[in-house]
Amino acid sequence: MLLQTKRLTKTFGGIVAVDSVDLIFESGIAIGIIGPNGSGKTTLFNLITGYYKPDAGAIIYKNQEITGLKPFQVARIGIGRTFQIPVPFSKMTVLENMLVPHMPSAIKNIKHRAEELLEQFYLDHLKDELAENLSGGQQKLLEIARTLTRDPDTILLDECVAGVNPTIRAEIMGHLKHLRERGKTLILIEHDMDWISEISEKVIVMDFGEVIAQGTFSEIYSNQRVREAYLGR
Amino acid sequence: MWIALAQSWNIIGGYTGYINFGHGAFFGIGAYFTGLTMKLAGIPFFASIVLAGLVNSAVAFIIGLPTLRLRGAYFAIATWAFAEAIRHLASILKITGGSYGFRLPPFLNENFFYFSMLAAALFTMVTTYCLVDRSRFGLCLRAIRDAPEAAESLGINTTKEKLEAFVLSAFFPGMIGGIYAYWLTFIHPASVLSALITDQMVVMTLVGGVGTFWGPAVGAVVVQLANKLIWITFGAEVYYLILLGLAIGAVVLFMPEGIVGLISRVRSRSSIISVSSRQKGFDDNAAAN
Repeated sequence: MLLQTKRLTKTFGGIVAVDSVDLIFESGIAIGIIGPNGSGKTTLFNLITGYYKPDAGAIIYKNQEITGLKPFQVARIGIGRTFQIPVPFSKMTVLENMLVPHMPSAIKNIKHRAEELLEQFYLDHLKDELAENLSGGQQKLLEIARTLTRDPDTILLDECVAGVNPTIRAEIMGHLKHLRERGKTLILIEHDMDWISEISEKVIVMDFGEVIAQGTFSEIYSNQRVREAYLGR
Repeated sequence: MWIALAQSWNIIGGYTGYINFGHGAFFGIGAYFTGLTMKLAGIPFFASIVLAGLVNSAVAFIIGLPTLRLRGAYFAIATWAFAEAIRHLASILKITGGSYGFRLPPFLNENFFYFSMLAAALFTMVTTYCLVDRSRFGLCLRAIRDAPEAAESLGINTTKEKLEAFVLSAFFPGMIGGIYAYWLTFIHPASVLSALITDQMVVMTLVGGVGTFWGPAVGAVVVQLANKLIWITFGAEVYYLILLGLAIGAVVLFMPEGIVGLISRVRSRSSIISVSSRQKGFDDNAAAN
């Protein structure tokens, strides 16, 4: 077990965004999280990565409780994340974006690593361009590449192909498969079932802040509660 | 003096994106601290201005801990309130001479003050260049300005970085305030703790180019020259204040990147034009052949 949430709960006013969620994420696999809008997927990410403090429950990572850690502390223990809407450092160049992350001591030559990743993500020809001038798809690529500069063990990707053209979607898929082969744990929020089923071994379905189903895609497709959540009762 | 003050404001206001409307208070604290240590404790001038810078940094640390949790207008209002509190404190304390102020030991040597100020300005510029503009610390500050949540997700301790920027930015006005006080030989709240001091730093940085290295220097020169021109032409301070307000409005509306930003935009546009005209020439030659 790599990551575990125990009865994790978060409320906003009268709305229970995440309701007593118990989850176990195994190491080295890709796990998809799906669910209708407002089902609590992004809130779950924000709780794991320290952006929100849970009202109740605990988060365990590599057998250590990380509940209440700040986002930068969560990042430093090896959990990287991307955001639903890409957040580049807009007034900085693409290369400068890559040089910002706090680097683990194992990585000595930061600039070399940054340039290597830009090359892998086909962004090297844009390295002197301001990040704000990149297209939406390129900004998504930059965000994933930037997250990888720290070489995190676990990567949380929030709708990383939403609104992206098919070429870049395929490119992102290739990068994610490569990361999975390298033993990285990927947790992906996505609405596109076909896309997510291509990469994920396991899927978790959320609705109204609760986990309503989890398992393989074939198990999920035949689940009555999942059908109701997506298609209505 | 204004180049150094504007550059020091630029560290927190420009590079980090935290609009500080209380920066003038650090100038005033520096002036009062230098004056009092020289007058009461007999500490030499150069030691006093360095101490003034360090005291300012300590004050910035204490003020920064609660205020840097705020963002945007809330931070601006909190720092403005801090500056007002310092001004009122200087106006009521006996040791500072209240609203009448106090005298420093006189030292009538214009060249000494000119070169002291020049050295302080150079020190501010060189330190900012090395520690902020060309460093990883500077990259972190700019990342915090652009997207603080993303910076945190990359392992950046944004609270620590912001606090360091605030502490560094407060050091320089302490030193400059000390030199100014010794030159003036007589200080009171209206001369060293006026809100206009902060306003000028902000306007100079905005005019020159906020968040750029050369912006504050260019802005300070342009605004000072404009000041002198207005004083010579109209001879009344009220015109200056009206034009200061108009300048802020005009810069925010028409030139948000300031003079330095405008120059680099024109430069990059002309390089695009020259590349495309070269390309056109290449295409024409190819067609002719």
